[in-house]
This record gives sequence, structure tokens and C-alpha cells, in this order.
Amino acid sequence: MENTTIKYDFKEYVKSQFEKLQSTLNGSVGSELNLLRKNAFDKFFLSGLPTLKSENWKYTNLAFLNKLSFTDSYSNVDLSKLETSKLFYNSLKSHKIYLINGKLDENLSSNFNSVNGLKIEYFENISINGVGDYANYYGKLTSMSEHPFANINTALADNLLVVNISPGVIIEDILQIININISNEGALLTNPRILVISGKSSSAKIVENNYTLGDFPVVRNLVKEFYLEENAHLNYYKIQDDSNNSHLFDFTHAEQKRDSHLDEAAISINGKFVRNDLRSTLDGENIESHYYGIFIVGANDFVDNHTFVDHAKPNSYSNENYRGVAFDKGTGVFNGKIMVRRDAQKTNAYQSNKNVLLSDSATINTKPELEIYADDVKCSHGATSGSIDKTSMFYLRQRGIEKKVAERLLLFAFVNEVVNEIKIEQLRELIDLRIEEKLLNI
Amino acid sequence: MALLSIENLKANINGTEILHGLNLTVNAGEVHAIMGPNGSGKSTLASVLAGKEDYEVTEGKVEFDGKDLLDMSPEDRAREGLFLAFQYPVEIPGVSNANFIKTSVNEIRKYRGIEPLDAMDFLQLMREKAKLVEIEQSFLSRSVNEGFSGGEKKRNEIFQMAMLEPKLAILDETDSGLDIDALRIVSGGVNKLRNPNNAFVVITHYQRLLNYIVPDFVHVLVDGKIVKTGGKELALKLEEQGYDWVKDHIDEL
Repeated sequence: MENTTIKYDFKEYVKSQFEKLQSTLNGSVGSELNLLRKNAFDKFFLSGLPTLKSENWKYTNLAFLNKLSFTDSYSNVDLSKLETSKLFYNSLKSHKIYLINGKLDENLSSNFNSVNGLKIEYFENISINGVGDYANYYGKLTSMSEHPFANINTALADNLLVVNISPGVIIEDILQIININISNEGALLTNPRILVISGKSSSAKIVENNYTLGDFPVVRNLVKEFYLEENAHLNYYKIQDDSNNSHLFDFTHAEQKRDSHLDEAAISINGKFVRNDLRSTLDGENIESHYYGIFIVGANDFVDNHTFVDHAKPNSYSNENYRGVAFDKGTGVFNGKIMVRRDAQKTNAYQSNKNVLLSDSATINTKPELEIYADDVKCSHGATSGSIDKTSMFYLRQRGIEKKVAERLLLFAFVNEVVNEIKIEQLRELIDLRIEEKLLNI
Repeated sequence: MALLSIENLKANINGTEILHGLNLTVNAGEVHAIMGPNGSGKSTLASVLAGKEDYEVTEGKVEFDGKDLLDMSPEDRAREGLFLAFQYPVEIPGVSNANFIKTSVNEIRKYRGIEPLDAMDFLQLMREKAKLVEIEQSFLSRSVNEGFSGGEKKRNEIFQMAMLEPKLAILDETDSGLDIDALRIVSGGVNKLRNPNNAFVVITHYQRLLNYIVPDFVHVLVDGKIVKTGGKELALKLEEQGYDWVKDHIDEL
């Protein structure tokens, strides 16, 4: 068994991984998919890791990536100690898909044959084997190639999970994608890749959970592509409630056709580092995109939500509601961009980001960005960062409620207004339990 | 021993002195009305007694049930049995009335070393007290005061008071802006809670309230001091003659 711990800088590490992968390809080096991979790698390698000088990363310090000693062998994972019943959100009644270090675990995962109209497909060694009919989707969204971590993912991801909901099908059961990362011997970089296709007039609810197990830090570089066909409904809730040595990059791009409806939520409760890039292309009329997010960030932790809603056609609606609580030395970032293109008349686009800061050493950076080229639109944005309302505190304390308890009650209510937007009751209850626990540390 | 004794209380906000040496003694079983013109310091007195942090006490002493009140945190004052019905009850989105009051009741019980109420007992108690101020069950699951009418907010204050059974309740202009039906409900609630072991300080602008909650004493507060004390007939006189009458007669009083 290999047991090398590599200590170059992160960029070099990505290069070594890329080259290692290329060396195994033989005849497939020139495949279309491998060309995509090469382009992605070149793009990343040319510009390297973004620094605080680049606009989209000015609050996001990536220096930690150069401090981690990445292991080179992450395929040999001992799963015997994995007790899935101990994963907090596993009690959620759902069909489960387990990705262990980016690879599907069929033994742990549910049998999906029984779910009508749902195809769960999995491709391994995609450079060699390709992605079948999904070649028309895989990596086709141009935004991918503009993002350094999406490029790393495209360069290195060798497996693909596809969730394909057939046209006209309403999936009543909840689907849970469980990303587990385990490293037995050093820091680990994984590049899970997920493609969700919501067929015409289909409807599905997906919950994603992320767990880092083991004693070593993990960098999970997750890329998701969503295609919502006409009139499709997709609710995608990602729960970022991970261990203290987890680092997560999540890049999600949804392309939406007319009359489609996306509900996306990022519930960031625990983890060392989270960077979410979420974007929708509203490529049709009468589309709805709802983005919800909460984060509770303390210690030296960091949560960053970058969103981009791109209204390309008229008569669509988007709404973003993000709420954050920062305490200790926690840092929260919100950057929400709304683009309304010239053709996108009668667009309604709303954005709200409210934050509570609980200590002088906590930081919130919030920035709305509106680019509007159509003249008949309704857009609004609002961002606030402040401390807990003193009048409310006094009211609660005058009723005999301890200061700390009153604070927690108000904070819970504050974030819960966003949690309440999640349309799965049992999930809301589980999230609430964890939020209450987290607030006890404040 | 008096339930509340205030001696020479001086307090300011942002450096401006509002209370200029106030004296007041309240015994168990009594209802005191405090009347006075706008800006005389009525609400400041209520806020200072409840422990609002914006106010600074520079002089004087307040004893509540034998303990130094000014030394206590706002929550400890409440736990010792002091209740303030707010002039402007605060809206708290996302916290249900029921959860709020349950937390409040159990925090106070914890302080007093009593077991928390279980869900069944709590619901039972809540139903019983809700009747007192004629509020519906649905009201309890709504967020605290959010979207409530003025009358609903004031009824909610009295409902909370009923739940907490304080030794001393300060009603800060609870009657202001209420229509006659709401006023009857609110004062009816107060009257049902009156007993020989508790006391009420009713701060009001209008004599009207005192037809419903009949006070034992009426105090006139002018310019941060109590300038006249009398029985309930003093309120009537004030209503007829206005506060100028008191001001003009301060020297003789």
C-alpha cells in the first residue's frame, strides 16, 4: 500500500494528481471528456489559486490549502468502522445514496429499482469509459470553466453520479445524497461530481449531507450541475454540518427552462471552511428560483455564500434569503449577484441578507451586486449586520429569562425563519435540534 | 415591611436627569396609581425599576421585598416577582407566545428551585389564564406580539402577568389607546389577580382607567418627583382641573 504524504503547495498537488490520472489513460488521452479535463486543468494551472486580490475571493483566504499535507492514497478506506446509524441526519426517512470519497458505495446505498421514474446512474473512470448519454450535459455549463475549483473538479473527478428524474414523474420519497469523506493517513482532497436532471414536469426533493470522518482534514471539492427541464420542480437542500476538520467547496449551477422551479438551501451549521458558489441561469419565462441559506459560524470558522442569479428571459422570479450568525472569531461572507439581461423584462428579483454579530472579533462581509439591463423590472436587495436587538432582549429578560437563554431564543427565531422555508418537516426538526445545540456554544 | 420602598431615587438617561429624588412606598395588597403629564418621568420610573440598561441611577435606594432591587439583573428582578407590563410590547418574530411564556415560567421556577412545568400542566395553566383575558387558543401559537393589534398586545401583557403571578406588577400606560371593550377586559384581568399578597403600580395618563381599576392611592408625578398623593378622588380632581392645577399648587402642597 502506498503511503506517501506530499508537501508541495496546493497547485503542485493538483498537478501531481492530474498527471497521475493522465498516466493511467493510455489510449483514452484524446477522448472528448479528457480534452475537457485537460482544458480545465490548464485553466486552473495558468491562473493558480485565487488570491485576496481577485474580486470573487477578496474575503476568502485560501492559504490553508498550502498548509495541508495531502495524502496520495485515498482509495483504500477502511469502512468497517463506519456506523451509518451514527450519522446525525440518517434518521431522515429517505432513499440513500452514499458517496464515499466521491465513489458510490452500492452496498450501503438503497436499491433504487423500486422507485419508479428515478434513475440513479454511476460512471467510474469516466476518462476511459465516458458518461454515456450524459455527455450532452456533463461540463457543458460555461460557468464551470470560469471557476478555479470547478476546474479542479473537472480536471480530477473520475466518477460521476447522475440523478435522473424522468419526465412527468413525481418522486414522493426523499432522496438523500450522503457525502462521506474518510482519510486514514493525511489530508485528503476529493472531487465528487453530481449531475441532476429534472425531466419535464417532474418533481423531486433531494437532501445532501456531508460528513468528514477520521482524524485528518478533508477538502471536499464538490461540483453539481442541475438541469431543470420545462415545468420541472426540484428542491435541493444541502446540509453543511460537518466535523471541525472539514473544508468544503461547493459549486452548483442550475440551468432552468421555462416554468421550472428550483428551491435551493444551504444550511451551514458546522465545519472549518465552507465556500458555496450557487448560480442559476433562468433561460425561459415564468421560472422561479428560490435560494435560502443560514449559517452559524464561530471559533475560527468561515462560511462564504456567493450567488449569481442570471435572468436571461422575461417574466421570471427569483428570491434569495440568507441569514447568518457570527460569534467568536467566525467569519461569514455573502455576495449576491443578480443579472437582469436586456430581454428579461418584467423580472422580479429579490435578495435579502441579514446577519447578527455576537462579538467584536466576528466578521461579516455582505455585498449585493445588481446588474440590470432591462428597464421594466422589480428588484430589491437588503443587507443588514448588527447585534441582537436590545429592546427584544430587555423584554425577554423582564420576563425572567436569563440573558444567554434570551439570546439563544432570539437567534434561534432569527435563523429559523429561513429554516421554515424547507419543505420537509422531519428535516426541519433535525436541523432545529442541531441549531439549538450549536447555539449552546455561543 | 413594605413590598417596595423607593427613597430619593435619581436617574438619568444620556446624562439628562429625569428622576430628581423620588420617594414611594407600596405595601402588599395595595394599588397605586401614578399620574402625570407627558415627560414627567412616569415611564422612566417603570424602566428604572425593571432594570432597563439605558438608564443610570445616580442616587437613592430601592428595596423590593427586603432586597436591594438596583443591584439585580433585569431577569433576577422578574424572578423575585417584579413584572412590567410594557407601554409598547415588543414584537418577536419566530418565537411563539406559548414557547416564550413556557421559557419564562420555567426560568422563574428554576430560580426559585421548583421543578419545571411539564407540557400538560403548562397547557392547562395557559388555557385557564387565557380565559381571564379572553384570548383564543390560536393566539398562543402566533409569534409574540407580531401583527397584534394594540388591544391584543396589551391583553397579552396581562395574560403574561397572569401566568407569572408577580408580587408587584407595574402597568405602564396599559390603558393608552385601548377601546372600551379592551379596557374592560384588561382591567377585569387585573382585578381578578388582585389579592392581599400582591400589589400594583398603575401608571396612566387618563383617569378613565381608575374607574375600572380602583386605586388605594393616587400619586401625581411632576418633573421627576411625586408632588401630591391622595385617594382615588385626586384622580377625578386632576381630570377636571388638569395638571396645571397641581403645578400651580406645588408650593402649597
